Parts: sequence; C-alpha cells; structure tokens
Amino acid sequence: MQQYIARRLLQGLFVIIVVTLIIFLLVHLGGDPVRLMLPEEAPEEAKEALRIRLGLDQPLHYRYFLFLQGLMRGDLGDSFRYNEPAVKLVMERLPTTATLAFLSMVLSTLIAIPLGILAAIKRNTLLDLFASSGAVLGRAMPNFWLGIMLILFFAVFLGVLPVSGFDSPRHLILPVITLGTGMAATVTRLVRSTLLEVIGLDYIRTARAKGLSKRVVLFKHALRNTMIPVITVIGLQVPALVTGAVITESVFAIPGVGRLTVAAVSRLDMAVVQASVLVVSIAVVLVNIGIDIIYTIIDPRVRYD
Amino acid sequence: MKKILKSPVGMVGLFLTSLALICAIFAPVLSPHPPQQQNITQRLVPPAWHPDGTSEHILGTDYMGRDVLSRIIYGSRTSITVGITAVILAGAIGLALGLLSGYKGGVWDSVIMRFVDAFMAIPSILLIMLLVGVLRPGVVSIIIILGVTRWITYARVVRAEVLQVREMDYVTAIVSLGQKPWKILLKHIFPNISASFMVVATLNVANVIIAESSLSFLGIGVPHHVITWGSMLAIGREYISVAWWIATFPGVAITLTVLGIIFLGDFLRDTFDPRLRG
Repeated sequence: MQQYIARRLLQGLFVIIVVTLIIFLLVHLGGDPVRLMLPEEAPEEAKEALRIRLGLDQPLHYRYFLFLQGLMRGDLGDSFRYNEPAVKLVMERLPTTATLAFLSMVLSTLIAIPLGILAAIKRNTLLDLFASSGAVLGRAMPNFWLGIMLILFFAVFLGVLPVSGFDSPRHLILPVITLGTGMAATVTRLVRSTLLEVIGLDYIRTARAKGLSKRVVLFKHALRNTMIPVITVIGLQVPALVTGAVITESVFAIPGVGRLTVAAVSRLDMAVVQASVLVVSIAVVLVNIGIDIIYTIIDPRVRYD
Repeated sequence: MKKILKSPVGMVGLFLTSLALICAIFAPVLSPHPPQQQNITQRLVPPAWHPDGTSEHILGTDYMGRDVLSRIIYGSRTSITVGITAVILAGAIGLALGLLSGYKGGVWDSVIMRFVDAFMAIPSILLIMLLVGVLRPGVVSIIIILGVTRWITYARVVRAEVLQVREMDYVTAIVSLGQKPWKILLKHIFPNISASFMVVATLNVANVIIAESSLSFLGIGVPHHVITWGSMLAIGREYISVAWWIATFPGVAITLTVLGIIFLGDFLRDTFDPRLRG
C-alpha cells in the first residue's frame, strides 16, 4: 500500500513537472514574455528589469530553471493590475472555486449514482427513459446557458433565489446545480451502462443461483465492481469540473479563480493567467492522486499491480 | 445509409446536424433581416407569439433592435466553421502523435504519453485562456487554440488502436516485405482505425462548439463584430430581467446542434465501432 502511494506521488510529481514545462514553453515560445507580463505603456526600465529577472538573455533551459525556482518560492511575477504577487491573488480565490467544484461533485454523484442504478434495474421503464434522456440533455446543454435559464426561472420569474454573488448558502444553490448537471449526466450514463454489463456476468448469476437475494447481489456484489470505472471517470472529470467552475463563476459573478483569470486575460495581465493555470493544474493533480488512493480501498487489485 | 433510416437516434442526429449546416451555408437567404441591422424603435421586441410581439421578428429583437432569429442563423456560421476546422487540426495532430506513439513505442511512446497525461491535468479553459493571452483573440487564433488543446483524445484512441493492429499478422507480413514505416502506417494501419477516428472526430465537433461558445460568452473568443451564439448569450445574461428571449434562443440553438452531433456520433459509433461505447 505505502509502496503504491509512494509510486503514485512520484508519478504525480512527474506530471506536475511536464505541466510546468508545457506552460513555460507556451509562454516563452509564443512571444516576448515581457510584452505579455507588462502593459504596453510600461516604462522601458521596468521592461529591462523584468527581462533580466526572467533571464531572457540566458539560454532557454536556464530560463526554465529560473522559472521552476520561482515556482518553488511561490513567485510567478506580479499582477500589474493589482500590484500584488500573482500567486497570492490566485491562492486567495482558490477556496471559493474549490468549494463550488467540491459541492457540485458531491451533489452530482449523490444524485447520479442512485439514478443510474434505478435506470439499470428498471430498464426500459419510464424512469429509465427519464434518466437516460436527462443524461443526454445534460451532456448537450452548455452549462452557462443552463445557469442563465436557472436565473431566469428561480431569480427573475419566481424571485426565490438570488441572481448572483457568493455570500450565503442560498447563493450557492443555483451555481452548484449549474456546475453539477453536466457531471451528473456523465455519471448517470456510466453507472447505468456499467451496472447493466456487470449484471450480465457469470459471478452475478452464480451469486443468485446460490440463493442470495436480489438486494444482496446488487449491493454487495454488482455495485462494487460498478464503482471502479465510475471512480476513474469522476477522477478524470476533475479538470472538466474546474473548466465548468470558471464559466459558472462568470455567470453568477462569483469571486473565484475563474473570474480572476477571465478578467486578467481581457486586460492581458498574463502573470495572473500563468499563475492560475499552474496553481489550479497542480491542485488537480493532487486531487487525482487522492482519488487514486481512495480507489485502492475499493479495488484491492490495484495495490498489487 | 439504409441503417440510418432505421435508427431513430441516427435520423434525429442527421436532421439536426443538417439543419445547422443548412443555416450556416444559406444564412443570407434564410435570415429575414440583415443580422447587424439596428433599429432603435424596435428595441427589445418580444417574440411573435407574445401580445407585444410582431410577426416581423419571430424570435424578438435585442437591445439594439437587431433580429434575434437572423443573428442565430448567422451565428451558426461561426460555430460550424470553428467546430469543423478546429477538429480537423486537432485530429491531424492527434493522429500523427497517436500513430507515432503506438507504432514506434519506446521513448517516443513514453514522451508523448507523459505529455498526454500532463495535458489531461490542465483544465482546458485555463490552457485556452493562457493561449488567448499569448496569441491574442481572433477567429484563426481561436481555431488554432482549440485545435492544439483538443488533440489528446485522438492521440489516445489512435495509439490504443495501433497497438492492437500492429500485432496482426498482415502487418508483420508487410513489415517483413521491407515496406517503409510511414507507408505501412498510412496505407495499411490507418484504414483499419479510421472508423474509430471518425467517431471520435464527430463527437469532438460537439465539444468544440461548446468550447467556442463558452469563450465567446466569457468575452475572450472571436472578435466582438463576429456574430456567435456565445456572445448573444452574454448580452442576454445582462438583459435577463427585461428580455428573456435574448438569452433563451441562442442557447436552444447550441443545445439542438450539439444534441444532433452527439446523436449522429452515437449512431456512427454503434454502427461502425461498438467497442468505443462508454
């Protein structure tokens, strides 16, 4: 077990290094980083100082080394808009985005897993039709549109929920539904199809044949094997969830990393954009490592791989 | 073709996708008004069935008096063009890297797959925003950006397929005949994996259309003068309390188009490559 966790951490570290390399190359090969990091009207001395600080007179690999060194210290340059370190700005807003993403993930799995199970065991009934078509619609609807429609219905027509903000639990309801729907759709579909596949396997027939009740077979035997791909997919969905969170924050004017980054791109405050991509991606890798460790509890085979 | 006539999912998919394509191609003929035509006296007119609506503007007008229906029809051009071209670009990159990774194996495979792992960990919208900042927004740069951030799925599917196909006897036979590797890949291996490739590409058009409209909604996509469903929604969000129709109908257009493509993709998958079913 410890060996597995150690190996997984090492892999994660490797992914993080490649992520930093990709982001570094995109920023440094895509154009003049000084032009990206400072506003055009910045004084020539400031540009020159940044050029030296980034080591732009040095070879590329040395610049990457400097970049990694800065990352270790949490120094990825300052925002020219806020005059504050970019990493600090991102870290301040990360809890808001993480709360939104986490609540949506929990809510969508809590709805999707029972719904998927019901759709599978009540196959070809009205309930199955409802769950399956809901899942297809959830996949096709862009979440920002869903968010706007929820605002229209609950905030404008009914007037029962606030239009925007993130101050009280009531403010959370619409954004969490907006963000959670897409993931709920994916998970419902997956639970349904995996469970249908598992139910058809020999070991389930054996379990039924030896006289176990349907309920025991479903919950003790079938469900455990169904959860394995489901957890994998939930893990793979984390980056998509963050993407959704960025857009949801814009719809509901939630002060998270997404809104900070969108505003930064519009003003070309690239130090902030770069910091948010890096910080959030590293967070995603760490969350995925966490999910993989949970995985070993459900599927002991993984530990001995 | 016979198969699609028998499949309800396939038919709905074909119908909705064709509808979007027809709107995009024949936009000048189909739209009742020029999409940029402003008319201050006709501001925020509700849809035709509303007591205050007029039959002149079936889906109403926006805050500048522009016809919503005409703008939706023209908006399909952006979505379809960006969707198809970005998918071709992403497909080309993913195909090349997937073939290389699967066929060559070894160091190539390890390096490419580590890049795939890393790309999968970066939330796509943040990567796209970083690139928008580096390249500056524009129709061409958005296509490039969506292309270079969406190749991963292709690379993974192609690699997995190549790993299977290259072990087959006919490939061993051609290798032993001394055929050049790139000829083997293009002439003998690619035809065997093209079905899965097409399925992934079709479904990917749907994702790219959503990604493009998200960017336009956030105001960091194609330039403001280009009509897109996403930017119409952004305007609609601002006028949500006075004019619900501005935000509602472009969203319906996106959902129906994406639904059509997903149905078509699902049909193609079930017909040509049922193994890909998730």
